[in-house]
Amino acid sequence: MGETAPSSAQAPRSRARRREAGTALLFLLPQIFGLVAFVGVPLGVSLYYSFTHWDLVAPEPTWIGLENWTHLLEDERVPKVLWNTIKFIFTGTLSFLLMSLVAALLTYRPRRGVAFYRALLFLPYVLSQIAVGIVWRWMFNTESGPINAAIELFGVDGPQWLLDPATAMPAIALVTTWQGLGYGMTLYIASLHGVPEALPEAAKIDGANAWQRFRHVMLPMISPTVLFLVVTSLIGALQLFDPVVAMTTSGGSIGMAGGPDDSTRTVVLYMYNQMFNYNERLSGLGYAAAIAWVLALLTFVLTLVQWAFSKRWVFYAGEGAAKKGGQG
Amino acid sequence: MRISRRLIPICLTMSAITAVTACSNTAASSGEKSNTLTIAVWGVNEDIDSIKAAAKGFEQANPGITLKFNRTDCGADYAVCKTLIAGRNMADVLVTGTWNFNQMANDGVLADLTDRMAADGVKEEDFVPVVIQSDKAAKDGRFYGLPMGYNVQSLFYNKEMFAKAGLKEPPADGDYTYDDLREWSRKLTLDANGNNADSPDFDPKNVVQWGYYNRFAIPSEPGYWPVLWAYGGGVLGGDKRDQCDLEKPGTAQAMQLLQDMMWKDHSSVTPQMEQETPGYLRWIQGHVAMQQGSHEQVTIAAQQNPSLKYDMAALPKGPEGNATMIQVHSWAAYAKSPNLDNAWKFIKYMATEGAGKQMGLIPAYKKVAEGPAFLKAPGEPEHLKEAQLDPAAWPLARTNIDPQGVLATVLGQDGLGPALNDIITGKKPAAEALKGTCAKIDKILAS
Repeated sequence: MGETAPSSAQAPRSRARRREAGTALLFLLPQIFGLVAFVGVPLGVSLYYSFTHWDLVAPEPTWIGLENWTHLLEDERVPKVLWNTIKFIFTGTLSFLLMSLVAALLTYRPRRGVAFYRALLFLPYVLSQIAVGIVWRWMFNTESGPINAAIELFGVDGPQWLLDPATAMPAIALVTTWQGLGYGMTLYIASLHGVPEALPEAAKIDGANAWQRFRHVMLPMISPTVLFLVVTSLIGALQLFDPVVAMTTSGGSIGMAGGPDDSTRTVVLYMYNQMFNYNERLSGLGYAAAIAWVLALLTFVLTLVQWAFSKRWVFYAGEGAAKKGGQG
Repeated sequence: MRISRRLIPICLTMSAITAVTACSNTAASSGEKSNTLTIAVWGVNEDIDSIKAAAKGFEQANPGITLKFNRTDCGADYAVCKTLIAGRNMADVLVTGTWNFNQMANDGVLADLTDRMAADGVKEEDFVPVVIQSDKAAKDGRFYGLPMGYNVQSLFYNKEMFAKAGLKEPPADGDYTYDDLREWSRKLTLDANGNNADSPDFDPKNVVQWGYYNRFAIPSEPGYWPVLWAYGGGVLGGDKRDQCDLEKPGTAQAMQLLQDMMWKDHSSVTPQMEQETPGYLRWIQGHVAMQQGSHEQVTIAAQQNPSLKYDMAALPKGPEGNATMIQVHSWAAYAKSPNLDNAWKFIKYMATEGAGKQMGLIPAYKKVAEGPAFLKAPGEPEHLKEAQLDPAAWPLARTNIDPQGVLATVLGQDGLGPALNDIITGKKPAAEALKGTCAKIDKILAS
């Protein structure tokens, strides 16, 4: 009896666990189905197409093995579009992260009228990127745009903005930062509100100045939000397309976007060109799918790197205490 | 940073991928023969209404055939046709343009109509020669479409501005030069103080009336190609448009003229001003004296500024003679349509008996083009025939056909794009900007 008692007690527990798992699976099924149908299958299909050539007009794709992939390594335009994308990461992403943090620090404390400023800063986020791009294209107009008109008030000629390869990408970065500012600010504010007031106050009593309180108390406390924004904005930067099209398309064709002098053509714009605009030997769905996969792999690797490094600088409030408790 | 909207191009690619598996459709690609004829149309509302109005006669004559008009950009943009084909939703009939017709014919998208034309007595001679030639595929010389109509580049001018400046109106038959045009343009450009561009007191930063507008400011090929041809240059030359003409002296001369008019004379609308308000609208609003444009300007002027007093003239002479560009819109049938017989009936009607007044184009069917329905239609400018019909017979009246399907790449960032940008923004003289472009174009042509 002594031997059978535990197993007879385990059996109902195990049955209950299985039933519980079955119920959980049932509830998860719609989500699993959605993931498989709308993420897994398209990913698999696009991977298959990256080994084929298909202009969409032929009845079926033609299997060409690794040709798209080897061509990618030889394609002289790929390093250029990658470099353009990296330029945007260093300008657009960094300015977004910094400026939205500044906006959050200026508006997170409850003051009179602060809600109005927050709403104002958030407003561009709800606008269409194409509409925003068109409006800013006019703002950057070197002859009749208000930006250069304002600069000229100081007796200085403004830059050529979208007409100069040196300033075109920073101009696009400025627009995306302006538009995304409200989103980043909102997340930072939510995170800043989660910092216990006692912490900066204690640091103040210990003699820490404002910068030290921010650097050594507030910043570590909001570091998970910083990490989230770094990861998501980097993914967004790698997918840059709409603002470039809206601000640099000339001659009415997306095939001509990406100027001046090819300085704003990003990986996604090039993928679009190869899919829809170009008529080269490998142009079409297969080569575009290969480019999409390179972009996806690049995103994955960069995200992994960020996660790996995040262990050094991201601080999760409950984690340290839990570890200490465990060790004790 | 917004992520969701940046996913659009990826979604487009993915949707093209998933389109492969799409199975529910009602259009031609479903493979079932039907009495409903699907017609892909594009353009502004007025364009589509004009097509529907022209098709009324066909519907009355063929009560057994139901027409279903699908508004898509297929035909204007080949990419849209491709996604429709991949999704098995392609229409039976479509409207192609000279800029993508050959690429579609090369890919086997368009049905060969040559034998049907012969069987039904539709003759090549019934149409304007340069126009019907563009419906022959470069690959085999067979007909894959019939013209809906065409656009010819002409000079549109404001009669009142010419009178105020004390200038004679441009000769309607094009018997004047680009130097004349440039001189008139300077005289017709006025600053806020009323000084013209020849005056020493002229203030180029305060222009209120421009002399000239050319779509070179966008830059769009119907704008600058005729000027290049008149100077003996071009972008792609040869019957198959497979030779780079960009480093011919005439190309640089023509582009330099257009650049000088914008940045030296300050008499032509610049790219920056174009961004703010398109030059053609400035002309229609009465702020530009002359513009190079096509017949659609007549429709736009009638709608937006009916009181505008204007006329048109054929384009001027360059060192090589008069040149103009023709863009043809053609009716074509999808090669895999199960309704090819009905599609042909419809195409034949729309290109012959039903021709005219479709998408604001000049009818290519001679009986209609030279008849009173077009030439003496109300609202048409006085010199319509000299400016729009006669130039189609010029030796340098060329279409913008693209037999190799390379134009998007040639004009884009891998080809002429950067040089064009430098020229239209006045950064570099034309000859300097164009130096080395043929090496790039040759590479594109080779690939």
